[in-house]
This record gives sequence, structure tokens and C-alpha cells, in this order.
Amino acid sequence: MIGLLAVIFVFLLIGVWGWPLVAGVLGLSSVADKPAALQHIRQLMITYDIAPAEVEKAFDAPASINSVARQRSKSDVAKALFIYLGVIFVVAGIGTYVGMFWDSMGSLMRIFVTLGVGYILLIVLVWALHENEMQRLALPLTIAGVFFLLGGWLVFIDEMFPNSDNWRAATLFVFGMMTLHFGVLFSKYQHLKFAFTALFFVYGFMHVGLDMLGISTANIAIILGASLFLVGAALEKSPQRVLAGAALLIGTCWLNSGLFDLIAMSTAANWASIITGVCVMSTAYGLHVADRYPRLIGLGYFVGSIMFYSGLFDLVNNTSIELIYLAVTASILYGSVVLQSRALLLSTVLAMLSYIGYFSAKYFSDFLGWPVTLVLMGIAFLGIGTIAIKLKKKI
Amino acid sequence: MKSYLRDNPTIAFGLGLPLLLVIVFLLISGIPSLLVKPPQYDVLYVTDYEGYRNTVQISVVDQKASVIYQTDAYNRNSTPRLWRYNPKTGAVREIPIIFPPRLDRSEEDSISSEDLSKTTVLDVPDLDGLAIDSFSIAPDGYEFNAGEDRYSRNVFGRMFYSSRYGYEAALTKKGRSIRIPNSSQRYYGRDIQFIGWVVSQ
Repeated sequence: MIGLLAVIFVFLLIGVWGWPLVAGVLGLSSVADKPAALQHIRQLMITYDIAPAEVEKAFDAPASINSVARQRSKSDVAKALFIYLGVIFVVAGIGTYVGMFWDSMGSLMRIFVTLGVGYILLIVLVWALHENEMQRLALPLTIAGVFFLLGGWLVFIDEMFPNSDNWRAATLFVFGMMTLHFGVLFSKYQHLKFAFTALFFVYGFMHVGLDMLGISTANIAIILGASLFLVGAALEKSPQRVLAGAALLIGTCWLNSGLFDLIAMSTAANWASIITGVCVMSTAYGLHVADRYPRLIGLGYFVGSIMFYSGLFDLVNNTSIELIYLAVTASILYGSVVLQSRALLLSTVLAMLSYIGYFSAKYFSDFLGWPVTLVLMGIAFLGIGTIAIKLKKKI
Repeated sequence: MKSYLRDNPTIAFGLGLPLLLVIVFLLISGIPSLLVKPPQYDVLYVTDYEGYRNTVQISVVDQKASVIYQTDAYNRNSTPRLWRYNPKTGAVREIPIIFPPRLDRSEEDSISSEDLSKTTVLDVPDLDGLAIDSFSIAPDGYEFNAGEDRYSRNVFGRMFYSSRYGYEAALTKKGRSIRIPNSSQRYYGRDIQFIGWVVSQ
């Protein structure tokens, strides 16, 4: 009941962006007992390619070894602290200087304080990667380097071609350069941060490029979403598997938004919602069969089913087959038990309760009077709630 | 291929099945356009039509469309725009309406109640000679659908559907739907109102 209230709270206050939050919470709270914990451990072992022997070894290792390995000496902490402070002051100083004198600077100076600083940061980054003690600097240097290089190249184009307003070509060039830089860095050092940055810019580059070729937004979303989904699936078998979950999530959202647009433009938005909802649930089922990413599975079932229910209601509302909505929700209630998905159970119960409330208000409010209708609705809600709690216990 | 998909259920169910489902759906949804004849009659509709607040009424009497203008006491900026859609070519053309000049509000005292209640039938040359059928269904069976009646009636729909789908107009008949190009709010305006079918000219 608390979960239901939380969902209603999120629904009312946060709106559409609350759904991923709810599903994330559902995923977090799915480990409540020993079998669920074992299932969770199994999923983690599959996701990170961990053998049972490695778990046993880590379990048997004395706790002191791990704690000693993690302890840093005080001098290390102080060194890291001063390095971070130094970087912050340098960046703040450059930023303040740029802000104060930007208008009075010439073109070359503007390019130097942005693009020049970006390349200096890139050189420092490469140096830090070769120094074992400076490895921790790599991430802040990468972030600062991306920021200055990106801005620097845009400033460079603006200074070189002041009369051009072709922002697509400028963006294409800048994203291409960024992809080239971080692609080379990734091929040399195989770091996660370079893989992420290179992926981000290569997809930005392709999006702008396809847009310039005149391909519609829906088709771009389908092409790039499908491509990113395949990349995510491939990343699962690579050392950069930490990125796989995010790539699969973004790829699924991108692909399905394109499919939604395509169907909505060809037919109607309610059909688009139904078909895309089924597609999102199918993706969740694929992850379910592969036994990976429990939070993504919950999120997929939840968002997909909500899309499906909203589209179906829109389609059958005020028609002679309106009651088919209730039959479909009942069938999916059975499906949620078979799939052992609490997220699907929650969305289905919400859909059933919403429909019963709507149906009662529409057909019975004038017939028996609203108070009696409320009592009948309450009895119906209690019945569905009891069934849902029983099913949840089985799941 | 089959063994690859069996070994990679994430790709099979996350990519293969959705794409297959959408292709099959789009093929099936294209069947009515093969079976149902295309629309035969041009349609007249108006956008930026704000119902009771409007100072312009477009009415069809005896198969003739007339534009009636009432002097606007508040000088509202919104004026409806009249359009004619030709289903044979797929083109939309705006029918120009020349409105009288607005009241001069700088001389409030000189505005009488007669001025404010004055109605004028505007001359719209492009409507002359057109026979308009104002029934909701055209003689060829097509129906004009627009606005929120078509999409996004429920709360979930409002959350998930983009607003650009909510106010588009289309001609529909037995499952065949022909979207009127560029009729979304991005180009024209908020509300779309059906006027009638051009049955002869």
C-alpha cells in the first residue's frame, strides 16, 4: 500500500519523469529475502562475467586484505587534495580571465584561451596516463579537456567564419574532431571514460550528419537507436561492460521514440503507443531471458505497459468493445505472475483500478447515487488489492 | 542466424521483434489505403478559431459559405484563417479574408454601443461560386477529424503523446486516414474547425 501511495505521489507531483524513478525504486527493493538475494547475485555474476570460483575466493579472503589495500596513506590524500585544488584554481582563473577580457581580446587570443588550453589539457592528460601516480587526474583532465576542446573548436569556427550561420556543418565538424581525438585515445589506452566520450561524440556526429542528409528525425532515431542497442549488446562482452546498461537503455529509448514517431505519423498516436509499449516490453523480456540488468527489466515492463494501457484505452474508449480493456489488463495480470515482474503487476493493478474508477463514475454515478458507487468502488479496490498482494507474495 | 538470435535474446527481443512488429503493423495499416477509394471533395476548414471568443463566424447557409465579422471591442489579435485542402493533389491553400480596420481605442468616448454590436458580412472572392456541404460526412463517406477528439483524450495519453499529434487534422474513412499536411499547431494555430466539403464550383 505504501508503494502504491508513493507511486500516486510521484505520478501527481513529478509527472512523466517520475516513472523511471518508480521503476528504479522497484528494482532496488526487489531483494527482500534469501532467494531474491541469490537471484540478484546470479544476475551480477552474469553481467560482470564472474565465475563461482572467483566469488568463493573473494568470500574466503581475509577482510583485512581488502581494507589494507583500500587504505591510502595520509600523504597520498594530501597530494590528491592539493592536485584537485590546483586544477580547480587554474580552471577558475582561466574562466575568470576569459570572462573579464573576452570582448577586448583578438581572434587569436580567443582561440588560444579556449582551444589552446584544451590541447594543453590534452597533452597533460596523456602525460598523466603515463605516470602511475597521476592516474587519478585522468578523469578531471578528461572532463576539462572535453569542455575546452568543444568550446575551443566552436570559437575557432566562429572566428574563422563569422558570417556563416550553418550551425549543422559547424557541429558536424566539431563532433567529428572530438570523436577523432577520443577515439584515438581509446584505441591507445582502452579507458572507460574515453569509450564513453568517443561514443557520445560519434553518435552526435552521426545524428547531425544524417540530419544534413535530409533523413527524418524518426528514421534517424531508429537507425542510431538500433545501432546503439547493438553496441550496448557488444559492450557486454568487452572490458567496458559498465557502459552496456546505459547504452542499452539509451538505445531502447532512442529506437522506440523513432518507432513511435513513425507509427504516429503513418496511423495514429494511440496505435503508436500500443505498438511501442509492446516493443519496450519485448526488450524487457529479452533482458529477462538473458538474466541481466534487473532494474532495466523492471523499468521496461513498467514504462512499456503504461504506454500500452494508455494507447489501448484511447483506442477503445467510448466504443462498443470498451470492456476489452479490462479483459486485456486481466490477461496481463496473469502475465506478470508468469514473468515474476512486480513492476508489471503494479502498472496492471493501477490500470485496472483506474478503469474501474472511470467505469463506475461513468455508468453508475447517476444510477445508484454517488455514495453507493463509492462503496462499490471501494469493495472492488479491496478485492483487486487483496489479489495483487497475494500475487506479489507469490512473485 | 537463428542460433545467433537464440544465443542473444537481448538483440532478438529488444531489436529484432520490435522492428518486425512495426514493419508488419505498417504493412497491415496500409491495407485500407488499397481497399478504400481516395477522397473526392476538397475540404474547407478554419484554424485559430477560438469558439465563443471569436469575433468572426464562418457559416454555411444554403450551400454558401459566408464570413460574418463583429466589431471587436477588445481589439484581440487572434483572427481565424481559412484553408482549402485538395485531396487529389495533397495541397493546402489559404483563402484570404480581408478584415475591416480595428477600432481606434484612443478615442474611447466616440465609440458607441452600435459600433461594438455592428456585424458585417465580409466579401471573400475565393468562396464565390462554391457549393459547400456542411454535413460532417462527405458524400464520398470521408469524415473530417481534428483536434483533441482524435488523440490524447485520457490522462496517460496526455503524458505520453507529444502535443504535435494532438491538434492535427485528417480525413478518415473505414480505417483509411489521410493527414492534412502541416495542419499541426506548429504552422497554423491552436484550434481547427471544420467548415464543409466543396461539392461543386
